[in-house]
Amino acid sequence: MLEVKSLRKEYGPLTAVKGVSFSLNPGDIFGFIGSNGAGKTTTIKMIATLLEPTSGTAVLNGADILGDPMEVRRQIGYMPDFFGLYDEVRVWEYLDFFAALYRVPSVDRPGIIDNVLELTDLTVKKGAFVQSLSRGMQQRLCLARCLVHDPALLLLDEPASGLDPRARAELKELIAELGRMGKIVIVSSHILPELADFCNSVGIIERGELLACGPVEDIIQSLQTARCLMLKSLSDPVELAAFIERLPLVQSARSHDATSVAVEFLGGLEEQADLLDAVIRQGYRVVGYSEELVDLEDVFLRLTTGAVN
Amino acid sequence: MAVQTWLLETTRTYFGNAASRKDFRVQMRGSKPFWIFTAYVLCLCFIGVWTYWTSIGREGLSLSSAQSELTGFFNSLIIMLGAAICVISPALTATAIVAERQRLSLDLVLSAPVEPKYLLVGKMISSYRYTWMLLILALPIVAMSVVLGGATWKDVFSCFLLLSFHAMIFTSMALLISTFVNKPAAAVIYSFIGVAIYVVASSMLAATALPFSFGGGASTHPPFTIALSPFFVLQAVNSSMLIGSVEVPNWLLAGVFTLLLCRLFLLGAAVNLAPLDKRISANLRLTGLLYTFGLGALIPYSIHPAMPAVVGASPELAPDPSLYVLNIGLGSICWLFLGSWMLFTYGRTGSRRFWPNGHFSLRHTLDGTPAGQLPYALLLVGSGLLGAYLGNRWVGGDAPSDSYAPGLLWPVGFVVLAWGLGHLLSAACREMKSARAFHFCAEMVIFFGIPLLMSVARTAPSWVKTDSDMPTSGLWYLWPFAPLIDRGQFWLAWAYGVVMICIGLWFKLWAVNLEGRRARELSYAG
Repeated sequence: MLEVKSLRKEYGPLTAVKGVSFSLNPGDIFGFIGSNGAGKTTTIKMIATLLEPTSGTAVLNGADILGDPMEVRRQIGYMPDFFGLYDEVRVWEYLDFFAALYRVPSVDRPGIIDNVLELTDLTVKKGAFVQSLSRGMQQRLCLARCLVHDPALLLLDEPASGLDPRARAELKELIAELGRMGKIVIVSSHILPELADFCNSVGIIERGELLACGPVEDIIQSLQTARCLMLKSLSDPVELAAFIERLPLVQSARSHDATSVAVEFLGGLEEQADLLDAVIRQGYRVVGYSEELVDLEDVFLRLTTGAVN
Repeated sequence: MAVQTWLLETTRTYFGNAASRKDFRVQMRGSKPFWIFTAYVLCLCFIGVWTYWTSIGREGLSLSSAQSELTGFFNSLIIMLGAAICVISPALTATAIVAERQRLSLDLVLSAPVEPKYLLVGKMISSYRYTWMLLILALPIVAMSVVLGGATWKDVFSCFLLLSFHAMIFTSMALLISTFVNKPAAAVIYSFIGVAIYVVASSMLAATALPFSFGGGASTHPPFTIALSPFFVLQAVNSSMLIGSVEVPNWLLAGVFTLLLCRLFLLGAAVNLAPLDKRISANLRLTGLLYTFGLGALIPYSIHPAMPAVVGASPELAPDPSLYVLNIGLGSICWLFLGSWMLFTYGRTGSRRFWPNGHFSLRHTLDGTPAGQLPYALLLVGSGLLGAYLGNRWVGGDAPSDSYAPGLLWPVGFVVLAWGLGHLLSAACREMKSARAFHFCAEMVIFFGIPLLMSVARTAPSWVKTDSDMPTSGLWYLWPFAPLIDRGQFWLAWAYGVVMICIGLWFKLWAVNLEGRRARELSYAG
């Protein structure tokens, strides 16, 4: 379990991270969202023990980042937003080097290297030089490096940046698989729709402050006071909007275009069905009825102002 | 249990180090090393054969002159190897860390559960091993001297041992420089400059060590400082030094000195890699205290017995006994003078490691933060003076007790001045690099400014008794080091100490004012 407690980082008068707190359980995939300079990387680096927090701490399975950084490092796989690959080193040598750094016994290393290469689909490239790999493969190799010591927590800083759609989809699947393996995964990314696909919780950070944190649905729910319904009919939308506005639980209704009416509705699913029933009974010819779902991007845009430190 | 853990950790660091193994694979990969080694051996063969034919391969040479020429042949080979080491060791090591930083792999290594020491030792082993391979490749050519009769195997191995000490010093020095800079080319250039400074300084020390041995010139035992220069290997190889009544081989003392110096360089490099690791900072600072104590003790130990010879040679230079203490004061802060630009400055932006955390705090003495800089520097001075006092007592020095106060006050004043200046420049400069550069330049002006100006104006200090027509000038008293040379003027050293403390405190107040103004501007802008 990872507990981040009031993590704060100050650089003189500048506060990069302002008391960030959250906790994650094994299997959680946490999406860390924020603009450039919001404090994501600083927070991740503090958890990775690469930066000393001004105050606050983080505890990973009982090991404190301040009190026992070496134990924390043993349990962490850190993948920054750059590759950091060596030239003239083969794929297996690169993994062997990091496995040795993480004190993996030399007798176990060949087997572990084979396993992580298989997991990241790089087995055929085992003997290749790392500089000869494509960007997507290098990204997967970096992930393989993070896995050689079987960490409990994976810190992935912008893992999908610069990848083509196929490589991105593969990476997404891989991260979801790691979550299923019981690892805690923290992923920071700008590509919000992707995060929503496989993250079961997110944290939105701006100017070092965690604006929202928790399961994706809960955050959307907490922001969404009214459901947005879209009603498409063959009738006059202005007249239909006027009718709907008089119905109970309707906050507002306005014609969206020549055929549609947008409705802000406060009721649940039952009441939604009643609303549709009332419209049809009134003789309006409805051809479409759907709820406009708020996605992570909307939530992010609503919560943040785009300000940076 | 603790011993077992330490043993395991040490074994892991020095044997089977993953960083050195990886580097070795890369170094030996492909045909490149084969061509490098071949070219190196051919080059050595060519120089060896050329030296042989120009010195020995002449017809009509008598047996005794042939013997002498053969010794000369061996000497020239060893000097050539010394020069090669001065070039090869720093060139191989200088980019070790800076390249990791450039390819952004340093953070990945430091996020693993390894101490910076592990990486540094790994890098050192891989560079040092390569240098050793080059030395071993040179062995067959040097062995020609043994076969032909110019040297013995003992000479060859002793020379190689001393050369490997120098290679170790240059490797660790280049490694330290590699952690400072951001560009490989700069690392190589600075490493060569560092090695050049070391070679010049150690050669000067070795040259002066020959006539002024610790026995005051009367002894035939040259001090171990002779073994510190790569170009004095031949003179040092069979020499030994008398410590008390025990004869200690100089190679042994040079080996101890090498290990101590390497430890210092590696600790400095580790602090650069992990500036926030308080344990490493404390380790470096404690080592600094210990070395300053040793330096303070060594100076009177080495100077005192030699003084009668100096006095006998030129009575006008006869030292006042109290001069020892003042000189010792200077000796103990030499260390500080070399390092004060690093010790007292900090930046304000990305390059900054520490932000001001107070002005004077004993609690932070060893952690390397700005609040602990002055207490630590004062401790260094105290440590140097204590070493000097004990060293002076050891050799039966007769410095009067009333000379210790000015001896103490002058270095304290110097330290406060450097500290105030460092804080002022840190507050005024945006980057730590600029603050350090300006501090270094200011130090150079303080140290060399007046002597340079006076030498251009061809004026001598007023306290010098000179028979020549050279005019004297009181301007020399603007030089902060004047009281250390104007012998016996205790009150002068005391006064200089007070003045330097006042200037240092004024600089510090100025720095506080600047930082306060900047904080107000930032809060206003925010």
